[in-house]
Amino acid sequence: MEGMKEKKKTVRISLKDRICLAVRPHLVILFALAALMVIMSLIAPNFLSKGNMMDIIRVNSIKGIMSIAMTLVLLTGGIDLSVGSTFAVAGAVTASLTIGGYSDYITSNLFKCNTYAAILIGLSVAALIGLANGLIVTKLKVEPFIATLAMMIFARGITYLYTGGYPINFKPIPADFAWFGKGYLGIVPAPAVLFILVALAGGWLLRYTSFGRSLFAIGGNRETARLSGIRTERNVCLTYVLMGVMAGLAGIIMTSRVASASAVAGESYEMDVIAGVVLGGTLQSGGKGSVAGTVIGIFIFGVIENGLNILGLPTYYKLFIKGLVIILAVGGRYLFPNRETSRKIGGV
Amino acid sequence: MMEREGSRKKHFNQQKLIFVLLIVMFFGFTAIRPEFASPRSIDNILRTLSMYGIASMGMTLVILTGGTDLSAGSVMALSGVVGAGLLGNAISAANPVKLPFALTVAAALTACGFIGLINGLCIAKLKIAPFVATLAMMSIARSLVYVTADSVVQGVSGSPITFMDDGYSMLGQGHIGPVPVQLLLFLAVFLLLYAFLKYTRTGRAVYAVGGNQEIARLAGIKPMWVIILCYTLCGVLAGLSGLILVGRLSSASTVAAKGYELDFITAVALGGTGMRGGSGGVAGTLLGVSFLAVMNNGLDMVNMPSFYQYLIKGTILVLAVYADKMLQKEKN
Repeated sequence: MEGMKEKKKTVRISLKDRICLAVRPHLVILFALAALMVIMSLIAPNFLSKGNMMDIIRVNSIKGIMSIAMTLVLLTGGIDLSVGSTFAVAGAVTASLTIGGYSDYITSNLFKCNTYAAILIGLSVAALIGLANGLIVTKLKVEPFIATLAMMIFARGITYLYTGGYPINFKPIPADFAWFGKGYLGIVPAPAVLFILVALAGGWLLRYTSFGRSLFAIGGNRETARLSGIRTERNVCLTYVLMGVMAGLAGIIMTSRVASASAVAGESYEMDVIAGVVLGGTLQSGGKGSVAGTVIGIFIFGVIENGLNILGLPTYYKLFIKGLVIILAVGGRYLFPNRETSRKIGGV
Repeated sequence: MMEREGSRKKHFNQQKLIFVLLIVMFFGFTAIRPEFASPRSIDNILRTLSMYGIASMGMTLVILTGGTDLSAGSVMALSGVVGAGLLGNAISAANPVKLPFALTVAAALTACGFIGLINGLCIAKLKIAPFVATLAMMSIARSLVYVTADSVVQGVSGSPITFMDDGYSMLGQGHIGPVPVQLLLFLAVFLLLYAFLKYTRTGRAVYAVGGNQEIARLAGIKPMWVIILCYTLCGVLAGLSGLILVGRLSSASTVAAKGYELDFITAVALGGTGMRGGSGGVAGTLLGVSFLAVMNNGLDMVNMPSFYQYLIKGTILVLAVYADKMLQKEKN
């Protein structure tokens, strides 16, 4: 209902106001990101170079793709810990089916097909894992944390079983498959192109479709949502399927980028992804969040990581700052609540 | 709301299921490999179980309040490097401090308790979701592990602290008669927490806070202090587990216990403590952690490839929690 009203209102307002409306809820983290970039450009040489910027975008696009879908999952009050394992499964399946992919284990030599067919199969397997998550959560009523924790263990087992523990490499990597990780569209890296598409699709889903609007309602109060005629179970299940597909897509891009699929790929990615989403203002308890915030959240971590790498600081600085940023950002939101932003968040 | 009532009756079923599976598994493994029931193998299982068990007990407290502690693994590693580092007899040590065994233990547990305290404050005072707050602490504590280890050992960043100390060896490898020291510690922790949860006012308050914070507050409980206490205890107990791990290996690694928090949570969930809080208890966790230890050791001994262990573990976790819901429904 509220979504409808808001939509009517936005039709009348000008483009400038619309941009203001979209930006305002994220002002604090946008400012944080800008400040970080200024600081990094002052202390880290070459931070602002075109090559480095492209690198940041390319590296973070992979986690970014997952975090868009994770935003949807968190919005419903769920969580998905299995994304790192799904990432590995999809990467391994696609690599083994692609012409040129080989390993010392039988599954990689059984069957080869066209690159796009291989990707489609990889994504389907990932979707199945997501579907299993969704069904366990909605039909068996197992808490999302436990259900996806179990799936994280289970899917990791599938990856080991499928690859035999051997990495799958390419001899040589087909050009069309290499494009996904290393290619460009014009000057934009291919992973970034896919990330932008996924982010736009995610924003559109949340803003303009009844499915997307229903996720806010489900996260706010599931019983009320159900009573107002929303098919809560189906929609929640769908978020896990989307999550699976996006984790799979990210895994496939990573496989293409490093030209290798390994059984240990994506371990503990779920934590990075969830951290980025939460930093972007999405509530872990559901009902509030946005795709734009998530994109900013992911890039804040990306900029910190990249800057510290350029400076050559040991990795533990990164760990420390990352933890501190989460506590300050999320805790600060409670200490200094901004009424207006908290009401308007949950748009684009 | 309905589910939270009668917590003791509710989880009887899941615990019984896990208990039966545990017995079946034990005899099954023994039938395939008679060595499985040998004193040496049982000693090994009991020691593994104790190390995981102590931290899982702390995790149970936190989950009972409706929270979770993802920093437990990092805290384990932190207590290891603090304890081993302060001994001052590490190989290639740069640390001039030389403390006796008991003081190093005290220092390590204090540090871990402090981390737990900060977790509790972030959750109770800043109202950060437990998952998020402890996820952040997981990063921070791990970075402190590196800082500590690097200040003790000269050489490559992240090198382990290797040392020799009788006290730690006793903690991780020692026996009193035939009983491993860590098992005694584990049982002591278990009994203390069992009595705490069952017979003390604060212990009962843990369930009340997990069930419904607002109602607990109206009943005169201060949820904030209960939450802070639980996280602090969880930190201390994870620290104790970390010291046992270090004692067992005579080496404190910077990457130790990575991802262990999820094992602890798995053990707690298998034991029938609901993730929403307010129901379950340490007895279930004892069962859950025994189940995991017997299963892991047994599957190793029958030479089951580790791939299948993942599949079995994941399946059993979902089925156990699901079975509990089903059995509950039938009862109602």
